[in-house]
Amino acid sequence: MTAPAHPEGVRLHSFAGLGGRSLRARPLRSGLTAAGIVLGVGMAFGVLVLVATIHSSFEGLFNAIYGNTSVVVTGKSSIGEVPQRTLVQVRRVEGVKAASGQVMGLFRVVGTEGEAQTGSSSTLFVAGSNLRGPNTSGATVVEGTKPRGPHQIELEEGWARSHGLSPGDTIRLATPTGEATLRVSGVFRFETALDLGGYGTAAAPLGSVRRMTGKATGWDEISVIAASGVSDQELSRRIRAAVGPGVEVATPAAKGEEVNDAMSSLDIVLYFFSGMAIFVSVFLILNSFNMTVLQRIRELGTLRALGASRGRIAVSVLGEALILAIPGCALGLALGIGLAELLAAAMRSFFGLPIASLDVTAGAIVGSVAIGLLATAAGALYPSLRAGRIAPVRALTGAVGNERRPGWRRALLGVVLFLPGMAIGGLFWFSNASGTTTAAIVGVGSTLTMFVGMVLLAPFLVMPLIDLLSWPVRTLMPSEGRLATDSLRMNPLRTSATAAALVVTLSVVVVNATMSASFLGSISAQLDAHFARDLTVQPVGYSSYGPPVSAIDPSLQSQIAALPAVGTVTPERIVYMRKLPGSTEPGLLEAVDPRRWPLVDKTEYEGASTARAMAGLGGGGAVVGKGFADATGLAVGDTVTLRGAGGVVRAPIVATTDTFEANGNLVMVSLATMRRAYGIASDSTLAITAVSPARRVALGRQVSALLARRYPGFEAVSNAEVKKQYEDAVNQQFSFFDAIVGIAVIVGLLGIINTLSMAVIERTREIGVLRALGGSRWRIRRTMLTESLLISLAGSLVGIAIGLLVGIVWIISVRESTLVGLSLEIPTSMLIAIAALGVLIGALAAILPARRAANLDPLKALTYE
Amino acid sequence: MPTNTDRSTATVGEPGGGRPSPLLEAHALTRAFGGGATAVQALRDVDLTVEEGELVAIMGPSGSGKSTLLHILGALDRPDAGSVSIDGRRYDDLADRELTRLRGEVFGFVFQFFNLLPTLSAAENVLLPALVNGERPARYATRVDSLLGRVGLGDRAAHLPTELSGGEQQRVAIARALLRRPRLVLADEPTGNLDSKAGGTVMRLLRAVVDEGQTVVMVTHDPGAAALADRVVFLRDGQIVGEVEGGDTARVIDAFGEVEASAPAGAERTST
Repeated sequence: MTAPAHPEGVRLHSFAGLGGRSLRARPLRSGLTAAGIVLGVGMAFGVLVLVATIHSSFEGLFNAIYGNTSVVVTGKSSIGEVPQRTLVQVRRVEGVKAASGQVMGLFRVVGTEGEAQTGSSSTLFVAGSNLRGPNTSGATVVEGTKPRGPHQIELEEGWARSHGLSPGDTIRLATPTGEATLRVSGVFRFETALDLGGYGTAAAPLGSVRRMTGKATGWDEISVIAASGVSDQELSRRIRAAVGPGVEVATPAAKGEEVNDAMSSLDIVLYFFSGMAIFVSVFLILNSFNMTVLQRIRELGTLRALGASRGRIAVSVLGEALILAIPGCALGLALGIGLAELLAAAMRSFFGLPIASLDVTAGAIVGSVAIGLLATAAGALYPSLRAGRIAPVRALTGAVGNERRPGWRRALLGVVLFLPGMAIGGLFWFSNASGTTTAAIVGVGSTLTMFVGMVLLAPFLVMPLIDLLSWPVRTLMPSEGRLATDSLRMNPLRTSATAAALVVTLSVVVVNATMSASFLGSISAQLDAHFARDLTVQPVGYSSYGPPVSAIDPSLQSQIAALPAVGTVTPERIVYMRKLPGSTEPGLLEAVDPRRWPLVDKTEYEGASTARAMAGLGGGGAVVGKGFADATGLAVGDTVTLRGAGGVVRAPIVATTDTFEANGNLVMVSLATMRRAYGIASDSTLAITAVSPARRVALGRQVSALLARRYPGFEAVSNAEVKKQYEDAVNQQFSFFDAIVGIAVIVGLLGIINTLSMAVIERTREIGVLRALGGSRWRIRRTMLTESLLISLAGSLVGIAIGLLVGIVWIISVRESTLVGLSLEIPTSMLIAIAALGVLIGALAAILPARRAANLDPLKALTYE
Repeated sequence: MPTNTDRSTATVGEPGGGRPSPLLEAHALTRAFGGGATAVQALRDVDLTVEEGELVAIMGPSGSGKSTLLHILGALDRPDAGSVSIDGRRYDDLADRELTRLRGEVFGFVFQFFNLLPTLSAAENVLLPALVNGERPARYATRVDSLLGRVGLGDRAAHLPTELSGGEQQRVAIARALLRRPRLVLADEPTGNLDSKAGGTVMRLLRAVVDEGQTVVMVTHDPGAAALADRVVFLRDGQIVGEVEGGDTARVIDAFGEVEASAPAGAERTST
């Protein structure tokens, strides 16, 4: 007893205490509602933590490797090499205390069997510089010494420890010029902690890295230390003036900023999916409290008759929701940590991002709890107001009549909200428009409004379908059939709200599946149509899009050319650019040998014949993708200006090509043009044909044998394997997002359980009659299962239909805007799987309510009031 | 013999302490439900006066409008026309906010189905009117105990409604109605959901409460219950058709039988 003068038998201290009692009286519903909050908050928190972690990972990376650096000089957009002379120019700038030229390599560790190991923890980033020069990173040797000879390497402490390496041990690396065996001379530590989620960093003498990478001249990066009294910004300005265009001069902070910006579209996608989970939880809360209010009409009317004001009733219902939100948020935070951990692991392996261990900020905690409370309040607001409007006379009369039917205004609003997202959403998600923040807001906004539209339209689609599905059920089992379908049909808004959660989430899965199937089908068709090669040599784990992988030294090409079964071998040099020349979009710059390329690739170009297009490339021209042409407005006859560290090249556009590579954000030039502008002279992949079709098998054997002997970092893959790799990459990305959608599907499942248990309570007396007349428990269970299946099946079917509609319209709009070759593929087996998932959800949802219904004591049920 | 309402002869029991005007005055109350051709006239031009300290029973066949009348008297509903006032203050035209205050401070309610909150103990249910009006429980520490004692449930304070019999639940509800010393208690079929023994206990309790000075208006079907009233008012087709003194069950039954028998053939169907 906290208050001394409490009447006996009274433990309530105020009206607010009623809320807690009422929640405890309905443990299942309270639990389900709280679970909805848990999932929503968990998703929000997980994503916030993940986004913060991604950004702090890069910040940590830049802080560590540029510990002492004031200014970084690289090729434009960090692409290509800076000429040798630039270092001399930089050193002459006033205010430069010291400058160090560096050459980088990204190598894979070779295992005991001689094979290159995959996975981020086997990837080592090696910086080569004059080790007697200035210490630009600020790292200090903590064990052993700096490398003294050409075959020595110094490893970062954490990575060395996790690989069990210490000074004196040897390490085998797969490099572009073949396998290298190096001795670990020492272990170093950065000034600030560095966590790259498994990726390692190392330092080696300049000459050694030049030899391993095959980069004989030029610099990947020049790190500059400012003299005292000169600000980083001022020094950047002076260096920029000295080195001229094509060279990028930036402070480490600005570089970090740039990477963060590049990650922002990923952030938006992640925010979107967490927004969806929250949307569905708001929905669950709304539905659940609506039911609670309906069930308590007499009780709330009594309170009104006893003098409670509208406001007090509304606040008490809202208060109940917020009481649930407290444990909901707490558990949600715990779930969020787990989700962030899983998503971070997925991003490391799917996207190869160097993600550190989780960075949990107070802001993310406060933000997620605020989102949880707001979502709860948003969901409970309408039911609270509705509770406040209950007339006091309901204390005597109880509930009267059925709930109202949805009207045409709702249908109209639903259509109005649904259409824009259906029309333009696809352009944002799958086309060029994703670049700017405005486009992202429009894209995400229209997609979310589209969901609201789906929810509003749900009753008009779900109810006729339930009527249709009810018919055979009622015919086959008249008594239970009626029991199973009546409450669904009597409460159209409740039924369709329950199904709507499934409609929204499953439609996203269907859109995902349709888009990925269509992209895969089209890519695969395009590869079939374009590939004239027999074999591709590429670095292990190669992907043209994303972080750079070690390139191929030109010496490999000549060794392959010397093999007897080889007809043609020609390189493809591909650079991923965060901004293509003249464009704001990221994309690929590709260089080929115009004389040999048609031998391995039979792409037909638009605006010129293949012969003329290749002649144009040879003459310093460019072929551009449709996506690039659309984004920039450039056409055949216009000029693309390539500004690299090597110089400025103006390339006339000689033809366009319709390609899926980078959504058509592609600029293709000759090897010579690329070298002139960016100084790039190493190959990304090699395309190879056999001397004759009969020698294809021999070709594969000979190339593989060469690679196994000397180049463990590369692999020879057939065209089928290339296709498979594309497929895996696309599937991985889509399944990553499907996994996130899974959270929302679980919330939908909770919603069905909720509605079903409400239906059990409503029909307690009816169930009692059925039991009293000899109906078995099994019969009662079957009734509940039928009801659950009807609702989940209707939700899934409508979700599939809407998903297909949206997917098809998106594909058409994407095809109209950029990817002309995109063809529609309906993922039939996936659709069947989704329908099966719907049935499974229905069956799972019925378990608890069915048990509750079957276990009702017939006597008590009959007298239930 | 039922006679038409006559204010001068209607008062039995303790008069209102020399007050110049009656406690409750309803005049020309009219209430219809629905609209157009399907409109149902629940009350037509009803006049009713209740003096302080009176127990008035309203009887009538189903659909006679007696529940509608009780709702309007209890500020749960508003008449379409006519006026109703308590202590000389009209409340038929008040906004929801004032009506809410009135319900909490001036009226007490007893319901046919008791309407106890199932999650609250007996004592907490009694305390509820104070809680919903934002008062602190401590103020009512002795009041709750004495009320529960008064209704004979002093030892059941901590019991939940499900642990009480129907009659006990209704006694808790009466204690609840009395908590804030309302000017008028309105009871809707207080014995309607009870067996005759429990119903008798509840009615004797109501009678005793009235004898202590409380004013009560109740709607009932039960002539035995009505007989304990000071006055029984008969309603049919939304109109007051008669009134008898209480005290004698046979008289009430006779009067009620006459009211039912005089129903015109094919009488308009009314509903509340």
